[in-house]
Amino acid sequence: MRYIYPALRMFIGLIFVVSGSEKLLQHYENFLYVIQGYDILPWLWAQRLVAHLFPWVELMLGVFLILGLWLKQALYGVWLCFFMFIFLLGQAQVRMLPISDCGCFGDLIKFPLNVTMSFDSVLFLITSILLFSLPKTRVLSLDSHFLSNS
Amino acid sequence: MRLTKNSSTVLIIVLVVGIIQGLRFLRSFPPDLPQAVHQKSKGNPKAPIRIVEYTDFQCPACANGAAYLKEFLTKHPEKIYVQYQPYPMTEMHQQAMALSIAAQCAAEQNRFWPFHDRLFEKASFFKQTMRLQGSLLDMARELGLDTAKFEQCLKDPDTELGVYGEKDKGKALGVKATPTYFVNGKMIVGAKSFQAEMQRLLSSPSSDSEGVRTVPTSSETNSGKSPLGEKLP
Repeated sequence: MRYIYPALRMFIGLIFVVSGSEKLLQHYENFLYVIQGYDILPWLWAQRLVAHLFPWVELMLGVFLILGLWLKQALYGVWLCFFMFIFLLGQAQVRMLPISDCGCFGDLIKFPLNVTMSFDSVLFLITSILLFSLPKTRVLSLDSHFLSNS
Repeated sequence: MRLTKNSSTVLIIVLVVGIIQGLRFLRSFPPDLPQAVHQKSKGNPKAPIRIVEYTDFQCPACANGAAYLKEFLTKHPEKIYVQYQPYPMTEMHQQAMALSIAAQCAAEQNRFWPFHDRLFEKASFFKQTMRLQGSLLDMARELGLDTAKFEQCLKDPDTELGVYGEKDKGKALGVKATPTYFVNGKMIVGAKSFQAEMQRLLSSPSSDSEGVRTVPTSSETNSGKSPLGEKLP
């Protein structure tokens, strides 16, 4: 029971690490195309900025979650990411944009938008629970190691 | 030496960035683009702008890209050389492979580009038709192809293998979505980004070859300027 919270934390961290590194190891133009598909940012410079930066943000959030470092900040970051993903997927479905898979994991896994949205909603709830129960989430984390040494 | 939380953070960030950049460096080689095949290429072979286009005949964005390309080629025939490569997205488009095979068979009878244009024009029809092969044969007949040869080519397993082979080469180059273009070796994904890049290149002085003049359309001749803002000679 004690290890469920850190296990969930590391699972979400792993999703972010895989997603972020998959985007970083392919041509950034592919992720740029995914961003353009959601038709949210009208300016090309903003689309390019997000295409360059966001995968790094994803990767770092994932690493920090797995290691349990700056856990509160990382969990808030992940929580915001899921909120943003759900918003993006929801507006894509409402506007009936021609997107067949979310582009979240590149070529690794392809899910239709409604499946991804359900998945993200569940993970959003889990992240909320992890944030709410921070002391339990901190088990097996670098944060608790540094806390105990200070 | 005991690491503090802040110094551990910096160390982890440096390590992660280093690993990713290292992997990116190992993967980054100049694109080994496929050789142009005469029947599936058009434009000026000595053009300063060379495009390799990976496309799917059932992809709506590819149809837009094809329209932009046609417009650019019409206005700047000396500046552009384009070669077509198939990338049927079979996971999403059921008829994409069949249409790519048909286009390959048209290429073998030197009728690739008219067939290519017609496939895009009739994309929604091909999506719904229950008699795909029959419709393709009708189209081949309309475009003056030898239908017996065409039908034999459609059924030849080597044709399909050839299309898969070309798609695999695209995958090796990092192509994941259509349309994907390599414009002078630079990867561009999507019709809008392609249009923006081509407008940038065509309005740049370095895209001019010596003695090249653009061919204006009849509406431009009346206005004295091309839509790209270039003064016509």
